[in-house]
Amino acid sequence: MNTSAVAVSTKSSARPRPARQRLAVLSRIVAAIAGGYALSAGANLVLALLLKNSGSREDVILLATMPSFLVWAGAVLWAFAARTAWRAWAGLLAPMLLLAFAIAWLRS
Amino acid sequence: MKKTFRLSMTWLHTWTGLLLGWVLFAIFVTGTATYFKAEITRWMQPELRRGGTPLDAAASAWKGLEARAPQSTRWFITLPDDRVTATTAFWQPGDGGKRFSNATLDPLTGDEVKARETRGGEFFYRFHFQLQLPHPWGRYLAGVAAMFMLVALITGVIAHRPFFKEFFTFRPERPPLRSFLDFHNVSGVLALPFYFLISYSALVIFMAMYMPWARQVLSDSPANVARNEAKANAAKAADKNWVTPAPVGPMLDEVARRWGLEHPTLKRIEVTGRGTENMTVTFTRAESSHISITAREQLRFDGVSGALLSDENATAGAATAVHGALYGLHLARFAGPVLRWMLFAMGLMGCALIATGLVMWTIKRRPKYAKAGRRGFGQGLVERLNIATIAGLPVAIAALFWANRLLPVEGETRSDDEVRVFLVVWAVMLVHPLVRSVARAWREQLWAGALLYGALPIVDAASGPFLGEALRRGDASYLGFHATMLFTSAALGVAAKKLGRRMQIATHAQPRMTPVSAEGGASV
Repeated sequence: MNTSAVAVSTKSSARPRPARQRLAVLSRIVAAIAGGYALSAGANLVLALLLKNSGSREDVILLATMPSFLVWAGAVLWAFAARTAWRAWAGLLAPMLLLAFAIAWLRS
Repeated sequence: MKKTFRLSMTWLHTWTGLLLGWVLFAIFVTGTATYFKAEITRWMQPELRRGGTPLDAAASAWKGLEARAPQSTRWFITLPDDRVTATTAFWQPGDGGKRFSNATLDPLTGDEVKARETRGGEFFYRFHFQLQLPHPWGRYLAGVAAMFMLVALITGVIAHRPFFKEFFTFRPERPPLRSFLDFHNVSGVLALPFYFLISYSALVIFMAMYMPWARQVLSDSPANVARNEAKANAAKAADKNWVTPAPVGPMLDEVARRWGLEHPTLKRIEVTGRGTENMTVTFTRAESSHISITAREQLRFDGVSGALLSDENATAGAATAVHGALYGLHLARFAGPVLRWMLFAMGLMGCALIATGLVMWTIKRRPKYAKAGRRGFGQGLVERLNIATIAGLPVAIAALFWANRLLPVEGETRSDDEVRVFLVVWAVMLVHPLVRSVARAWREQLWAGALLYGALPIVDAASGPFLGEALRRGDASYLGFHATMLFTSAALGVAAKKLGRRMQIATHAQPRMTPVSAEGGASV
C-alpha cells in the first residue's frame, strides 16, 4: 500500500477516498491503544529488570509501574500526531523492538 | 493526521473527550459526592447516634466483637471521628472462610445499631470506580476512562492553547457555542492541576490491575515465598489450641497516652492471628495529619502478652513515598473542612468541564445538520446520551435520596432497593429523550432534578423527626447536606431556565445558529 495515500488528504474539497482514510484512522486507533499499551508494558518490564537491585521489591515495582501510564499517553499522542499511519506504527514499533531486545538481554 | 500538530491534537481531544465522556461525567459526579461520603451516610442513616471518644468506641467495639465473633482470627475495626458517626467492624469467620462478615456498631454499647439499611455514602464511593458493573469490569472501565481523561487533558491544553492567553474572557451574550467554550476553558484552566492529579492518581491506585507486568517479572523473589509460607503457618496454627488474647484495656491506655483522646487519634484497629501465639493488634491513627496513605502512625502490640512491639517501620523508598502521596491525595482523607469544600468545588468544576465539552460537540455540529436538513444518527445519539447523563444522573441521585426516606425503614432488602430505584430512574431518563424532542427533554429533566432536590427537605421533614432534631441541635453536617441539595436544585433550575430562553432566541433569530468562525470552531 502506498504510504502517501493513507495520509489524510490536505484538499478537503476533493473527494479524499473515504474508505482508505477511515482505514488509516482505524489503524491509528489500534496503534494508540494496543501499540501504546504494549510499549508502556515493555517500558514497565525493562524498568523493573533494570532497577531490580536498587531497592526493596515493592519499591522497585512501584517505581517501574508509575511512569508507564505517561509512556502510554505519549504513545497515544504520537499515534495521532504522526504524519501518516505508517509513520505512527513505525514510531511505536521501533522503541518496542529496542525494549524487546533489552528484556531479552536483561533476563539472560 | 491533520494539517498541523495542533489540529491533530484538537481532533484527538474531541474524540477522547466524547467517547467516554458520559462515563467520566458519572465518575466525576459520584467522586465529587464521595468527598462528603461520611456526611451523606449520616444523612442517609439518621438513626445513628454519636457519643464518647474514639477510644471508648474501641473498647465497646472490642467487647461487642468478643461476643459476636469469638472464634474469628482476624478483626478489622474502623472507629467514628468528627465526620463518621458509627463504628464499622469486619471479621473473618472462625473457620477461616474468605467471606468476611461485617456490622455497624453503636459507639456507646458495641451492639449492632438498629438503623435503616442503606449503602449511604458508600454507594457513591463504590460507583465512582466500579460503576455498578460486575467485578473486575467496573474497575477496568474506570481505568480506561481515566486514561482517556489523561489524554484528553494533555490534548486539551494543546488544543485550547490560544485561550490560555485570554482565559478570563467570559462572553455570556455571545452565541451559545462561544459561552460554552468560554466556560469549558475557564473551568478547565482554573483547576487543571487538580484534573491531572485526579486522573493520573486514579491510574496509580489500581495500577497493579492495569499494569501488572513488573510485579509478575519480579514475583518469584524469595521475599514473596517467605511471606506465603508465613501465611500458611498462621492458618495452620489457627486449627490448633486456642491461645487466650491479652485484655485490650491496657493497650488502649497506651494509645491514649501517646495520641490523646481527641481527633486525630485512633481510627483503625486490625487484629491478626487472634487465638494463636502470633496474634498482633495494630492501632492506626487518624490520617488527617498526613497526606500520604502509607505515612501513617501505627502502634503494634503483641496480642498474647499485651506488650508494645518495636517500630519495625522499614524506611520506605522514594517510589513508595510518591505512590503513597498520590494515593492519599486522590482520597483526600487528610482534608479539613475548608480544603474539603475546595476539593468539592473543583470536582464540580470537573463535572462542568465534561458537561460543557459534551454539549459543545453537539452544538458545533448542529449548523451542519441544519443545513443538510436532517440529523445524523451519531448526532442524535450524542444529544440523547448527553441529556440522560448530564441531566438524568442528577435526577437518579435525587431519586436515591427520596427512596432512602420513603422506602419502609424495616425493609430487609432496602439498601438494594434504593440502588434499584436509582438505576430504574436513570433508565427512565435514558428513554425519556427518545420520546420527547431534544430541547424539551433537556428542560424537563433539568426541572425534574430541580424539583426533586428542592423538595428533599419537605420529604425529610414529612418522613421522620430527623430534620427537626438537626435544626434544634444545629447539626452542621446534616443541615449542610440539605443546603447542598438546595444549591443543586437552584443550579439545575437556573440551567433549565437559561436553556429555555436560549431556545426561544434560537427559534426567533436564526442567524444565531450560523456556523462559528473557523478559528473558534477549530479549537473545540
